[in-house]
Amino acid sequence: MNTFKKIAAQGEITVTRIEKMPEGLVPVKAEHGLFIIGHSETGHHHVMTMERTRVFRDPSAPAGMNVLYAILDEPKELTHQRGFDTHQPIALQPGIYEFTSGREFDHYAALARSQSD
Amino acid sequence: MTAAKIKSLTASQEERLVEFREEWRAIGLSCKPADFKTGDEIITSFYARLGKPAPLILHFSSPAMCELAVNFVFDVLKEPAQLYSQLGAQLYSQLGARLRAQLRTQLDSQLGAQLGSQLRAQLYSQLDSQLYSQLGSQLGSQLGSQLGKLKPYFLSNRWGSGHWCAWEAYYLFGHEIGVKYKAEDIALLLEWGRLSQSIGWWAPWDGICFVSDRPREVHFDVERRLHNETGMAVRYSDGWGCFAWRGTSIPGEWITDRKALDVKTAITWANLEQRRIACSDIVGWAKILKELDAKTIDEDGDPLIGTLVEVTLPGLPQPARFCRVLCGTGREFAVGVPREVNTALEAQAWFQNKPLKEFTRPEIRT
Repeated sequence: MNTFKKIAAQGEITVTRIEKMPEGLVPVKAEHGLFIIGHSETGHHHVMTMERTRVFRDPSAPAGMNVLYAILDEPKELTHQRGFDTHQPIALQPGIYEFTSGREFDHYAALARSQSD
Repeated sequence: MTAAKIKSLTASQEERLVEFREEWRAIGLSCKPADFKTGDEIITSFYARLGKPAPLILHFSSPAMCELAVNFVFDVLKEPAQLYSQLGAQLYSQLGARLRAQLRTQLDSQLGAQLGSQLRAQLYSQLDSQLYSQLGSQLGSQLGSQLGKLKPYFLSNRWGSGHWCAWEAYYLFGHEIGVKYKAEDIALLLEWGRLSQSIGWWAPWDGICFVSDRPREVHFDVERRLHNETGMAVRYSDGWGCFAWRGTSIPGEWITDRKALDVKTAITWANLEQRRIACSDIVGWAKILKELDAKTIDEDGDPLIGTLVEVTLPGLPQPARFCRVLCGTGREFAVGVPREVNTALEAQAWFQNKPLKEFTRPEIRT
């Protein structure tokens, strides 16, 4: 299992272990028992199971970015829902984490947008 | 006295496992015309098990035609869906989930844990990853993306039949190697199996049921990813289906009219995974970089950080910058960054909205 101390990346998702939760966050609901940490238009989401976990969204995230925070009360895995070219799971120990979905620049629209797959 | 658990397969059962799995793979991938007569009998018997009268069963050429028909019946004939109780959930809880829970309990009590894991890995997962995750899921996404003003009545109430048959195969193989199920459970399981061998997707409502034919063509690459470089990856008899490239759905015109996929479209396509396919596999990076007069601005040396290139995009007054980078799976992407970004490492920091001095290379990247 892939483990880390401070920062790891799974595809376009960067996971950073942090000390405390920021303020002004909005709770995120689980879907079918899973928290979608990174949404995929083609259905290949990055997910975490919902038990003993709370996930929040930063409503003030910069344009094109999706920033989530999670409090894990038990060990979890961040997994990628794809049966091929799969980003390997990353083990998460209990604690507080920030999940940042990367952004990119759209040259024609001249603005930032999220990296979607 | 409690019977001893089955802890391992005999040599002949090991051989049979492979044969059995491929038989069920063939069922899931079947392109034979549906056996609607058998399907109707089993569906009617399922309604009876739920205490419901026999429904009107309508047959169609594809899931798309089923969706059109359901919408027509419910909307155009001014019969709102609420008048018809959606039986999918009831069927799931009473004939699906409950059965599976009971089979699971019986199987787990009679199989050793290691053998159970072996069967899940070598039978269930292998079938599920191709049939459900690839075929069923891609078709579902395709239908969902084409609905327009239609409501997803059929899509949200459907049963996948052969595309969802991995669980049936898993429990039926247990039966083959000696697991004893209760008579009523194995009888119902066999009916589910027979239904998967008969028809395509279907969706039940109180009094009416819509049933689709099976596809006429399905194509995969050697790694069993949905893939066809010359036509639809899945095609039904009415022409509906989906295009896919190594497991990822792509616009049909990229296959049917490849010349229409120009360099600008490829490198600026919004979806990263589809863009990677367009740039790497269909148009080709060599052609893109040549046509766009690409210049390397910075090369990090670490392919996971990447190379910053500048290209001339049609219609833009200034050159545009992209970071060409490998992801953790070894695939190459081109990700746009503003012109102010001067190195590949700065690009990585910009992706995360961090100043360069605060950017840390991930300890692991998968």
